[in-house]
Amino acid sequence: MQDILNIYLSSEESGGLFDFDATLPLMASQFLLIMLILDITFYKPINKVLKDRENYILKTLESATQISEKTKETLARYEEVILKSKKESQQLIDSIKTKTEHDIVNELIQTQNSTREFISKSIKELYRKKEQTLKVLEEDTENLSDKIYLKLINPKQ
Amino acid sequence: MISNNLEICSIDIGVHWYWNFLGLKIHGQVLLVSWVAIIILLLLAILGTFNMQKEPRGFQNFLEYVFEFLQDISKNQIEEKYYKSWVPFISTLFLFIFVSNWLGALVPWKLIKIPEGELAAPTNDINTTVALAMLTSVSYFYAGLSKKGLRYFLKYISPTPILLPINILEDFTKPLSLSFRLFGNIVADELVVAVFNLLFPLFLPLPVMVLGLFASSIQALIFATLSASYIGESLADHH
Repeated sequence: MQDILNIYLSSEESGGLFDFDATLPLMASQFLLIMLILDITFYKPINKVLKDRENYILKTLESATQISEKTKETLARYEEVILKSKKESQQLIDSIKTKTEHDIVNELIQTQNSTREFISKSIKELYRKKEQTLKVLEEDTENLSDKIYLKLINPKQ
Repeated sequence: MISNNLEICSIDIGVHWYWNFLGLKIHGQVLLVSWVAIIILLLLAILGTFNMQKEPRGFQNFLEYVFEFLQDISKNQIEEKYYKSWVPFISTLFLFIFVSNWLGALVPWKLIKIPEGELAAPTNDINTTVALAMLTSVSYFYAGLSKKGLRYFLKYISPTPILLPINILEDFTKPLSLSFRLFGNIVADELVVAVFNLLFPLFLPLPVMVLGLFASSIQALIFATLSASYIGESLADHH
């Protein structure tokens, strides 16, 4: 049966737990070599990808912010335009309203005036006619009375 | 049956499969598993990055998550201005230690027979952990010197010159504690699992294995965080 636990701390010829030899520099140099290779094949490309992605995200974020700002601006402009046109249309409506009212009032006044004129004219006419008629009547009456007088004083005639 | 069981349960610590490399001795079993870890890391990196899109999907998504986690380790310890250039080092530390530890904990290496010793996590070899710890030391010296020049050495006599010995001692204790913490944790975990297997090789080791899985990921995080903290300390301005 063989020994189960063979622990050699150090021995006369060679071997042992603390046996330093050319493995040490070899291991160090192959470690440096693998470090260089990993730097080229692993760390650098991955770092580049990570950085590129970060830049890409930053850029996209920036452009998104710009677009949203632009949208806000456009929205504000449109709102302004809408407000302006609303105002204008309101003004137009108001002016038309006042104009129409004005026209109506004017027409009313005109009509009133013309009516009043007509009435006064008619009244005047009436008075004139009345006077005329009265005059005619008076003349007639005078004529008649003259005739009656003549008849009375000179019945033979 | 019993001997077979015991063979599965046995653990060799300090037994190495020696390779000869330009006349130098190296631990073959450590390098083999470290290569597996490296291949896994490379596969992950290639799978996640060969078809990258703006909207991450699948492996790319996973890698991005991992990268941000790794970046945060450096970011939390090193000043904002300097942390970028240290991300590869700290991240690779974490990934390499993490994958190594989990390979050791999850893969039944015992089923693969090698001539000597046994396959295990590369981090259970002192050479690996000391290599990583020394790299950290070199890194924080480099960080401090490249930023402050020779004024970096003023930190040894601040706040007072009395602390000079302690400050110098710190430069030795830092890598020592880093390497031995990782090494000790991984070896201890394997030992405990092996001993529990010996006692009752069915369900008893399971909780310890789960604990080991948890501990090994924590160790990776601790190693990476402490390295980042040492580098951050060197880069920080003294007042």
